[in-house]
Amino acid sequence: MKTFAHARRPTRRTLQVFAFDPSAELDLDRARVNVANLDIRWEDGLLPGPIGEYVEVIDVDPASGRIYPPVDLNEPHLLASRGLAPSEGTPQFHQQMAYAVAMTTIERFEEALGRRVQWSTSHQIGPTGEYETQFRARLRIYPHGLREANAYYSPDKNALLFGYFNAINSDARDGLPGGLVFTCLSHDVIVHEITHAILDGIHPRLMEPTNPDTLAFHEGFSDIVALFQHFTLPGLLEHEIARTRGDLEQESMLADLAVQFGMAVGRRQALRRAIGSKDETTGRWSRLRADPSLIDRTQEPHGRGALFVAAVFDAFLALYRAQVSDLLRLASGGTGILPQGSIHPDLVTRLSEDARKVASRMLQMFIRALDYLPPVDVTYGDYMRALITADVDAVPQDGRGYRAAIINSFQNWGIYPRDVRTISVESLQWSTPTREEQRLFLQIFPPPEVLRVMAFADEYAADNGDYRPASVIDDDEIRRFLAHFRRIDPQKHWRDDEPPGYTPQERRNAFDAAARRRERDFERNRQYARFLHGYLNRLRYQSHDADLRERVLATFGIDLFGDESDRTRRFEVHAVRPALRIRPDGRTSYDLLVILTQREKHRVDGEVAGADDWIYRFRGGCTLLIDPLSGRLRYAIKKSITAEGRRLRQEAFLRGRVLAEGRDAAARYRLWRSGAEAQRVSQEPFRLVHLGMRGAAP
Amino acid sequence: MLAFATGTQHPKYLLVDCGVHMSQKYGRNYMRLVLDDLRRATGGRLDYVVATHEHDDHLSGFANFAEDFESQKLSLNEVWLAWTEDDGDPAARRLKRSRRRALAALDATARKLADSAATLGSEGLGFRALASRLDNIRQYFGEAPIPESRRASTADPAAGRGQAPSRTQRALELLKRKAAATRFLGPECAPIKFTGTNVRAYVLGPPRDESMLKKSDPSSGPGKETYLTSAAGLDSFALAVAPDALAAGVGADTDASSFDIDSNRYNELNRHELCFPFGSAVGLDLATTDMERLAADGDHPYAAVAERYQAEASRRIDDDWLYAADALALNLDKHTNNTSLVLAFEIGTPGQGAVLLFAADAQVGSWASWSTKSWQIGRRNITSADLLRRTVVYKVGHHASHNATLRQVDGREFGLPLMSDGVVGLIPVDQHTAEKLPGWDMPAPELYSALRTKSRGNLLRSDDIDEHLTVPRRRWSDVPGAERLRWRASRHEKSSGSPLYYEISVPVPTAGSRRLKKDVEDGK
Repeated sequence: MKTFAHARRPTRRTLQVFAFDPSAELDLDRARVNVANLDIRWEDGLLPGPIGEYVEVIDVDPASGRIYPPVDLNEPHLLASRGLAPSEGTPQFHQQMAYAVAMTTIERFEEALGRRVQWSTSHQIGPTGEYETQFRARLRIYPHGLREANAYYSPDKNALLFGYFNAINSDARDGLPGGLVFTCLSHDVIVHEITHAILDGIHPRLMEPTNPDTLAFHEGFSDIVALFQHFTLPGLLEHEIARTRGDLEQESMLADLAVQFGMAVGRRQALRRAIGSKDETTGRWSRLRADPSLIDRTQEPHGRGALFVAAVFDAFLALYRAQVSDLLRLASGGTGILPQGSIHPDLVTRLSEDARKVASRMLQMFIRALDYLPPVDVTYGDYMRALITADVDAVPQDGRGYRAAIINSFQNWGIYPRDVRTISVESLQWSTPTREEQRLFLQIFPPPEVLRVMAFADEYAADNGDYRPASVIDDDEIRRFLAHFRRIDPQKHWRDDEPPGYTPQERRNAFDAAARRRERDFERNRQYARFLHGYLNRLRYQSHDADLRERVLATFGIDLFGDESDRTRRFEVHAVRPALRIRPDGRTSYDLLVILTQREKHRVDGEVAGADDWIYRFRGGCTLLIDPLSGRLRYAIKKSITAEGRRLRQEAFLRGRVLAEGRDAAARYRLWRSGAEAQRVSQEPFRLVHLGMRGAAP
Repeated sequence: MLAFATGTQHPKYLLVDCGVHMSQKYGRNYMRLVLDDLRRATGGRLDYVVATHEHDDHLSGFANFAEDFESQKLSLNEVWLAWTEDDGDPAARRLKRSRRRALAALDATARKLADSAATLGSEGLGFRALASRLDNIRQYFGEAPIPESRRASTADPAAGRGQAPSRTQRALELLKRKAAATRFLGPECAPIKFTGTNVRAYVLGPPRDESMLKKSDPSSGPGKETYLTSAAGLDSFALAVAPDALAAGVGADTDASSFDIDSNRYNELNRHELCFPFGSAVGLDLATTDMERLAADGDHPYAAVAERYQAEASRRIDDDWLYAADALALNLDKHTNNTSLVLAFEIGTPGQGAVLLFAADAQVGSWASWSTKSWQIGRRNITSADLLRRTVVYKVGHHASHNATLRQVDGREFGLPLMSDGVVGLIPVDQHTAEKLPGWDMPAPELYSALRTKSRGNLLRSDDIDEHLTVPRRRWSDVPGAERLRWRASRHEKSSGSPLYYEISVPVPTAGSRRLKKDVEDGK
């Protein structure tokens, strides 16, 4: 087959998926909107699987001893018909749906973050005995990897495993008793799991439970992304707006997660519900009410995560109400109270538009805030501050009051930072560096031209192969660095890529090219990190200025002068990430993100049920946001390695959890016995979180 | 072991369980000592033997020393079992069948894992841990451990269950065979009076309600919020891991009234076909497909997928699905605990006498099921809360685990808070052994401190390691803080040097001169 010389290369591919899950097919009300067409990014080199640039769907089912035929989305019939039609009995459709929903979510993150999504790296012991960081190009998706009512993200395998199971409900109205339920056919479960994976790629330390909020945040955030994605599904929102007459505070499937799953495990309703739930005995639905004291009484990750979700959803509803109040007045002759009966289709369209606008703006806000988080020991309060700071940066004028609404709702649910004097948009923002701190930054960080290279070299950097900084970074080394990453002239090197044809070889080539792009990103960022580490490390040799050490500690929370032989206080340049964002006002903004971390080992006294002492890691770190144009520091968001109060809180938290959940929970909280080396037993942290399981014995 | 004074030379003897955990060091020798002592004390005649539930640590003594019973060194009069062991009861049969099916699945999983762990080396650490967890649970049912070196024998259906009876099954068989009478007890039974005494037994559990039987953890807060429940979908797991055992009809029955894999609807379908979610015709067989060849064949539709799956061994998921066995094992185990026969003995006038509570291993669901129960004796109405309030000796549920001594039911105070202060708590536990076992958090720290407070330090532990407790001396003395209770430690000693048993005497309130003795033979 030849290339299509006169045809433009497509930019989007439309694929059909279930908007909810197969259960809605038999529900007269929901069935009409249960098939959604997802518009996803066109990938040239998509191989059968589908295997693309970001994800690879491998459909092995070890429990049944089968491997299912992979779907080839480039097959002409499928190209012409929006992929396979939704079907429970066709594994290829399962693959298509997992792929389509995953890619949609990834794209959402890329839009908000202004850079490519990267998966968490694998750490394996290499031939030298050191841990080696390995690039992982694709997240793996196993649509039928498990045979249980569970689905989880495995950080070790860098994979999503979805299970299927026989329903245990006994009421046939909730689905076929004993019928098969596939978690990979639930839109919400897929979004939830892939969000875990994306989050883990951004902040691997977020999985370390150092306070009650960390795991809860992972869960809650994943649910929020799934909820807000409901609003982007075409058709669904309109249907719900029409049904509820524009009042989204009523019971609505927009606020429900994983309906079929909830029914199949015998709950008679969706697995999680953001605005209210049914009493399981009376069957009556009631609206959740904010209660600020709940947060202190809820320690379990899912319960705490649910509070976060409730707070966010309340904020959404408040904003939606404010946004549409004028429309409602217009439509009701000024009273704001709609007459009885159905509302006009035009009004439905306009209300939906507004709801969609609010949802997508909020989702953007929530994702963008991830770059403003401290790298370790994140709490809800930190996230709230990150959210406000990021939003002020992106949208200086907040005419609609998004920030106020969110702060208000969070407060109602008892979520607020403990380290601010007052609560306002102003006081919640991370503080900007003082003049002294700015000077300190200029003193110890590389010169602006180096930072600019790190921020901009991205697409146009010459591919000069591998770069390893010398052990001592002097002026010569800086020159070498600048030369290595010099930008190529895009004018000279521009080459219009011909759209590839569809011979297997051409597809392979496109596939490989796509894979290389993100790997080069990754490699470059790693080389920057090495360089920066070398650069910061030389301070240790240059001066033994105790005052400087103190000032660095106070500003960045990191001890750059730690004893080299003391391996526990080595610092790490965890990541260097350039980001390019289009702001809502149309301007572009550049950011260079540098993340420094450090750790120490500490001991929990043997009070835990009379057992031995436990060892845990205490981490400090700092997220630096640097403006590469001016070479100035915008924020240094830190968790200090010397914060004794924080360390004691972490210790108390760990002790409390082990007391409450039993000694077996120790591994889950990354505690190990003194004397015994930390054993790297695969933990599958999310598997257990999802099961809410605790050990037990006869 | 309980002795109820009858006013004659021969008190009525009642033995509750006889077993020791298989991880217990010198457990067998210890049981030998206990049995010999029992014979000495009772003259070899046990009027009643209660076997609370089918767990090895409660029954191993009967099976290991079957000879004692066969040779009539120890004779049994009446055996009491929970209704869940009654083969004549359809509900009990169904429970048993699903238990057997779960065991068959565990068995097959453990074999598969042993095989994988052997070939995986250090990568297989997690699997090895899982295998040992499963093996542990299998052993509670008296199954022989699976050596790690053993090659998988999943292809051999005879290796599945149901061939040789397990130790627990042998123990129950023995008891039924040797006893003059076997009684199956449930919560519907009226209080049972012991002839010649002023003592009666109330039957509290196991519950008849299946949902209560299956409830083992507190449901407030955490339980409700969990994302996915561990109970769902285990049938399909069991079917996948042990299709042969199931297809051969382990426990197949036709009277299943609620859904399970064995129900009629499924009997009509080919069970083997059910193992495949899309039918056996879809896809390739993993076992017989040469993935390397597929990967090399560029035109093959599976080529890309096969290539990627082959490339990184550490990302494969060949055995990850077997982790579901964890949930299966836990469920099986907790449900079995909930089939415990729970008895309360009331000494003296109905509604007034002191109560001895034997909770066996009953967990949340069982406690909740009898929290609202009451009995009618004459004109007197006696509630379970009454019984708790009068409890002076409490055999702490399930070796003092977190979920077997309740503090409240539906927001109402129930369980431990109701018992009288100074209640003597009996905890059969060996903390040092428990610490080595996965999942054994016994005694659970929070509960233990509550028990210590409630009992005012009157806790008798079989491991005798807590120095803060009040310990009886060898001479009879008053139990501090507990009215008219007396206790002493035995002169006989275990190999560890601590007393072989403790003895508590509870007076019969109406007839002051007669004392009732209660030995704590801390077998179980």
